[in-house]
Formats: sequence, structure tokens, C-alpha cells
Amino acid sequence: MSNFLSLKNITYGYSHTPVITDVNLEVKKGEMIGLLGRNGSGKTTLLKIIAGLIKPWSGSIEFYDKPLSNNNKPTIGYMPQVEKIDWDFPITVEEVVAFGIWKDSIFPWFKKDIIGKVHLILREFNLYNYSKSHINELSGGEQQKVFLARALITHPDLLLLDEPTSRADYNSREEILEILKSFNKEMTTIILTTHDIKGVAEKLPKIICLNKQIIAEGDPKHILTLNNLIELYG
Amino acid sequence: MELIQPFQYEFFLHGVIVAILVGAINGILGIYIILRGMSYIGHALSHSIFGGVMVSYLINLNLYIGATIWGIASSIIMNEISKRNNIKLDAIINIISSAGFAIGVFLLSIRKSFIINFEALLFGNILGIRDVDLFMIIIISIISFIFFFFFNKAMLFTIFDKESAKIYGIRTDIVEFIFSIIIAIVVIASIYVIGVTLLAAAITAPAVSARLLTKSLSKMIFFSIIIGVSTSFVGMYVSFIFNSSSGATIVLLDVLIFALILLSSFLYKTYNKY
Repeated sequence: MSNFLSLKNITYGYSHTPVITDVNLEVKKGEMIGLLGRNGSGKTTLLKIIAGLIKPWSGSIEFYDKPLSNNNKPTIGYMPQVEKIDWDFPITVEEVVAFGIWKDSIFPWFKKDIIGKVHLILREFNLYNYSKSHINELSGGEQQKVFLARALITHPDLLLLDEPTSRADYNSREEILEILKSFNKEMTTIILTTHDIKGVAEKLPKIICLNKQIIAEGDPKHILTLNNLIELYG
Repeated sequence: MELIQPFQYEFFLHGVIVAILVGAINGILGIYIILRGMSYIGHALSHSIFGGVMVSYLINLNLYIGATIWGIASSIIMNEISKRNNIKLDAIINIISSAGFAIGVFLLSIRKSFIINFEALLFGNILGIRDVDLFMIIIISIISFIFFFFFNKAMLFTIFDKESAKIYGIRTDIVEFIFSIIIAIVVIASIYVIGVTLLAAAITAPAVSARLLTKSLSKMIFFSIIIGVSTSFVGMYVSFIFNSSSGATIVLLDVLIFALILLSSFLYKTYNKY
């Protein structure tokens, strides 16, 4: 079976210093993968390269064995690191989620049918009661669920999540993982970054240990060894 | 003097129409500008464009065309220098805007015949609005309103979460480029009413006041327009009565409204605390 995504010899850096070097990765349709590594290990950079936000210095990406292009690419749902978000921005929960389908209307406001779709997914995520709330009125975990709802509202082929549980408490983290697993069962391919070994990485079917290069990949039960962790965190 | 007396003069009616249009577009523009955290841009562009206005006079080029080209060129130069040299944008903006203003003052100092227009440009003057200005300002207002109507969501998404906006199909570079053109043409439209030196406050004060009143963006835009239009209208009227500079009068009213809202907000919070 051909690969959903293939990353071949990807190298990229900032100010002439490589952040990731010669990364090769094959992703099958419907896989759920965690990128594990310390700060500066290249997790977010790799996610942004896959998302098409930055072009690698060298190497290529293929989608079903053909070069990634405007005519040959998966639909993407994306969740940024929420630490970068301005929580005082005047925006409600439903407006944040509606940005996921902003193209559906040319009007400057979100029409009723769009808001209807937004309410459906907010119900699924137990956030419907907060639809009209300002985003800074929610807890950290709820805020991350709002961004997850935005990423999932179009039922994309590929879900890219940058630290999706970083602000979540135990309950919210478990809830987010359950949501991800249920979408993954419907064959949504998921790639996420995480720092959290116990809370997240150990619960994923596949992880990739990254420290500028891929150190190990596979089932966390087999690759979260002392040697790999020393190489990962020093 | 009768209250309606000023309205019998055509120049005053022109001034009021222009002030209301400028108040409304500045009200909307100000919201996007403060959300992007670039309140200084109105100040910088208006000073920079002063040079463009003077050069346009000197070479007999239509003021609006000359100043628009100058404003857009200034925006592009500011962005490009910052991108290529790893220098912070605010430092570059200071240099480019001061350079533009200095060119204007230099040209003015060697060609004294500019004096009357010079004062109008610096502080705003309702007497300075000609038929051609009225026409151009109406055109600029229409273009701006069309932009804000069709680009509202793309602009907001870009300001709120630029990274994701790109992934969701927004050409953020194009949106930001068109936005900088809109800022430049709105600044040009506002120069005769408000004046170069006071424009930044007229753009940002209504928006900041509106932000103090509500957390809802649509209400914020509504309040900002209402404040912008009413202070412009009342400001023009008061400036006629007292023969004062229209720009200074409008800005003082904007600041007064801001101070009143700030004070009420403080009192409301203090009252609720106890």
C-alpha cells in the first residue's frame, strides 16, 4: 500500500543553523503519531513543514507517492501552540471554531448555516453552553478543545496538532485524547507534538523520538527505553 | 448665531460630509489597527505621506495619486528593510516616517508659497476641502468599505492566528499588503480634516474607547464608528463656531470620550468590587 505521506531527507534551520537534519518519515493513512522531544528538538518545525508553512532547505514531501502540490495535497486541520494566542482578542468560542470554515461564505459575518455546523461540533465536544462566551472565560483545557474543534470541523484528511494538551488538566487531557482516538478510528491521520511522556506519548499507538534527527520510532512500549530517553533529553 | 447657520455654507456641508466619512472609516480601521498592535502606524504613515504631498505639489501631480504612491512605497520599504536586515520594524518605521516628514518640511522651507496649505495639512482645515477632495474622499471611503466588507474575516483570522490562517487558505501576505494600502489611502483621505500631526489619535482613540465598552467585536466596530462619526461631526461644528482647527477639535473630543469611558469603567469596577 502506498504511503499517505512520505518525508524524504528533510533538512531545515534558522539563521544558518540546522534544526532538523535528514529526516525521513513514512506515514500510513489513519496512523496516529506523536512527535516527542525536548524544546528546540525540531518537533514544531517538522509539523510546520508538513503543514506547508515553511519550505525545507532540502528534501521533499510526497502525498500518495507524488510530490506535494496545490493539486495533490491532503485537507489539513491545524491547531497551533495555544501559548501564542492573544486571549484578550475580542472573539467568542463559536467565532474561533467558525474560522475553520470561513471560506463557506463571502459575507463579513458568519451566516446561520455556518454557526449551525459550529454548534454541532461544540455539542460533540461538550462546549455548546460556551458558544457565546469570550475565549478567555474558558479553562485552559476547554480553550484547547475549542481549537481542536476548529481543526476538526471540516473532518480533514490530516490533523496536525502542536502540543494539544499543554494547558489541559488531567480530565481535559483524557477527554482530548478520547476525541482524537474517535476521529482516528474514522481514518483521520493525526500527527501531534508533545512533551508529556506519561500523559500523552505512552498512550499513543506510535511515537517518533526527535532530537534534530529521528532517534527512534514505533510503539512507545518498545522505544521509550532509558537509552532513547537519554539521547532525547541528554 | 443660529444653530443651523453653518449648514447654509457649502464649504461647511462639504466639511461635514467628509468628516463623517472619515470618522466612519477611521472608526473601522482603528479596530483592526489596535488589534494588530500597530497603533503607531497611523502616526508614521501620516508623517511620511506629508513628504509625498509636498513632492506632488512641487511636480504638479494630483495630490491623491502622489500621496498614495508615496504611502504605499513607504509601507513596502518599511517592511522590506525590516525583513532583510533583521532590524525591528518600529525602528525602521521611525526612520522612514521622519525622513518623509523631513522631505516635506525641507521642500516647504525652500518654497514658502505652500504656507496656507501647509497649516491645513498639519492641523486640518474645513476651508481646505474642495469639490475634487470631496469626490476623492467619497471614492476612498467606498473602496475602504468594500475592503472591510469582503476582507473582514480574512483580516481577523490573520490578526488572531496568522499561522493557521495560512493553512486555512488565506494569503496573509496579500491581505496585509492590501491592508497597508487601505491604511495609506484612509490617511490621505483624513489629512484635510484631521491633519498630519493629529491623525494617529483620530484613528485609534474611537477604537480604544470602543474596546473599553465591549468584548464583542461586532459591537466594538459599531461603537467605534458611532464615536468616530459623532466626534467628527460635533468637532467640525465646534471648529466652525470657535474658528479652531478642525483636527485639534475632533481629536480633543475623541480624547474626552475616551477619558469619560475610562473613568466610568474604573468607577464601575470599583463599585462592583465593594
